[in-house]
Amino acid sequence: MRRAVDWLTSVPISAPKARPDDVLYGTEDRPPAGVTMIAVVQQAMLMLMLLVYAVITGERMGLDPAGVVRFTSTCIFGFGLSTLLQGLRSRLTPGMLMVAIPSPVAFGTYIGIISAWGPSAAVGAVISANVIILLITPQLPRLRGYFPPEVAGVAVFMIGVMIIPEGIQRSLSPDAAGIISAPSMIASVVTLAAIVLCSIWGGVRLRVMSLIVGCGIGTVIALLLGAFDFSSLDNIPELGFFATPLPSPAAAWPTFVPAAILAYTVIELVHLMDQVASALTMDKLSDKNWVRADMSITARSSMANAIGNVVCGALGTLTGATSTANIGLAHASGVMSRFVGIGTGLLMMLLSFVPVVALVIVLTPGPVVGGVLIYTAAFMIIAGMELVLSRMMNSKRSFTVGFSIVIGFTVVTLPALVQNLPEWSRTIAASGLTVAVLTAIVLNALFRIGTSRTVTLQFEEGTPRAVQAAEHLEHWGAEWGARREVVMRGGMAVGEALELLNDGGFIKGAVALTTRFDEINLRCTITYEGEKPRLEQTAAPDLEALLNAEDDAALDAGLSEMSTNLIRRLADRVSVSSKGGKASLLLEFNH
Amino acid sequence: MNITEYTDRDVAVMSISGRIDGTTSAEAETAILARIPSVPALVLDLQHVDYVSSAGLRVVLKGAKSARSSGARLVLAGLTPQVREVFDISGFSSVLEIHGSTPEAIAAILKTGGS
Repeated sequence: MRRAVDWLTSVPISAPKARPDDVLYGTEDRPPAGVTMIAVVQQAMLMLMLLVYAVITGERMGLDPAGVVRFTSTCIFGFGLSTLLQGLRSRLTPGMLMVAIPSPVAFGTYIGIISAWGPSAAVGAVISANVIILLITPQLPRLRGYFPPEVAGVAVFMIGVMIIPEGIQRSLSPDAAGIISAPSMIASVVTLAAIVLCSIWGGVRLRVMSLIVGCGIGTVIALLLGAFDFSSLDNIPELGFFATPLPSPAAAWPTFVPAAILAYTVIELVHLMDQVASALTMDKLSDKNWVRADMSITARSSMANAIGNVVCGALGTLTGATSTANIGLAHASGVMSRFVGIGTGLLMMLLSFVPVVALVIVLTPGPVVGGVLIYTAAFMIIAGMELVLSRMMNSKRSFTVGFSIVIGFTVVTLPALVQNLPEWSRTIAASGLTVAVLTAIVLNALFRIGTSRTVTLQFEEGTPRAVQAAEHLEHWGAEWGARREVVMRGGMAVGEALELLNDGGFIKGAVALTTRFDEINLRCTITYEGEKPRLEQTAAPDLEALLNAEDDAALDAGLSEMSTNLIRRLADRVSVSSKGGKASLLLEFNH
Repeated sequence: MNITEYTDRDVAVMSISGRIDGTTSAEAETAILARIPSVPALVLDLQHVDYVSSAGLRVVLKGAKSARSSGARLVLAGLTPQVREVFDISGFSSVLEIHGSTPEAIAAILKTGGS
């Protein structure tokens, strides 16, 4: 038992993180109790507001008002547990502030399965699909090439796009004739403006409170202007103060229907992409020195989500993934501590025993939720674009991103196109997000075929070798989707090395440059006939003294080792070797 | 490599484009050292320079040394991120005056004087 606990808690080492300047409390920081409390309440409040999909699911399952409240409370418990798991650091969980919410992607399929095969088939499908995901996630680090930032970027971008209609609908509350409600619009705009004003121009305290301030002001305005559905109060069931969040009796025992499992597995694959993108976004936002996806953290975040989803399935609720709005909140408030995540998870689990909390969710004014959703959509769309453009683009990658988004928008804007498909597949094909992500994954995998990861350049006469090397690296950097700054640094170091070898008379014959890229390293090897140079790090020259020196000879002597120093500092690792009259100089760059 | 010279509000500007390396450094050195003695300040506009090797750094330092001995001012402007990285890791950023853009460099010269 002790061994098992030791294994579980001995976390694999990730790259050290550095807190960005605009973040007040990083992942491992413990904020003061007051800040933690405010942040926990704010995160939990936002999570509760985004439980609207649980409410919609409960209603569409045909549950009575008391049943909807109980279903929503059970969801709060399940997603609280998922949030707690995300906050803990272990071999199976990441240790990040990632708040779970019911998924807008899943609820359509979940209800579809219940309609076709009954609630117990939905339980079986949810559990089976997430066990499949659990089996896949340990392989994620090896699959990095198949889930590059631009694919994750498409997912994040489309999630933002998918939120827009719900946000606009709730903000404008149009009637049957399509005429918008001015009070709703005003309440929504005030909510949005208050959040933005607090986030941009507010001090530290206001920034942390931005969402609560926005929702508070928006709710007051909604109530004053009458942008609130008072008829919803008529349906309040008789509730006790305390009730255990139990699963629905009809869904207690799972049945396993292959078609239902297949349909929900596709949904969970999209959740997996979504979770990877969220973990990647969170990791990037909370690390000043972020250079590449930390696949250990993203895999553990996906595993924690799948474990939480298995519990949700057993409890008879739909599944979810990390709330991107809560990521936005963490970033906007500058509080990204995982201890806030642990606190939020525990608070949500406690609140699930108080039914009135679930009831309040139903009563939150729609325009206020609309304002929050529009804020989230804007944040996610930009975050998706940033992810896409973090790598060098070429025609293949441009096509992968562009075509995936076009296909996704086609499904969103022309839903009639999928109406004649079989019912089980319609739940997948009708989602612009699902279709866009699957298209991006397939196109990325297709375009990887035939792209060599090791290439050699034989230098030609006529053009300076450094120029040929720079062009070669830029071309292949784009082919591989390498980070631009790493490729540019590689070009600088290789150019400097070629100049040093040439000017120092080390090269006696043919020269070649072999470049290899494997997502983790960019390796450039210059091989040539001749002798190997000595590339020892020397002390940096006193430039001020050189500027004041009497003659240029002193300046030249002082800069004689500049070339070696530049190569050593531009490259992360340098090594030289020679054998049988041939020498090679290896420059390695972290990616 | 191309070198273009012009004057903006009485401030001399030398705009260089391309690469400043072992094959082009002699040309750049000749142009910079010829211009410095005749002006109180010279802005080196490097926004179109995508590569500077150690030979290029030597030219810039020689220019700064010449400016200092003649009582002039050599100001660098518009360095691309990769060129800026070379200036940073070599320590040159700490001894040279560098501005984000040529207009900023000219404004700084006009505000504080030529030398």
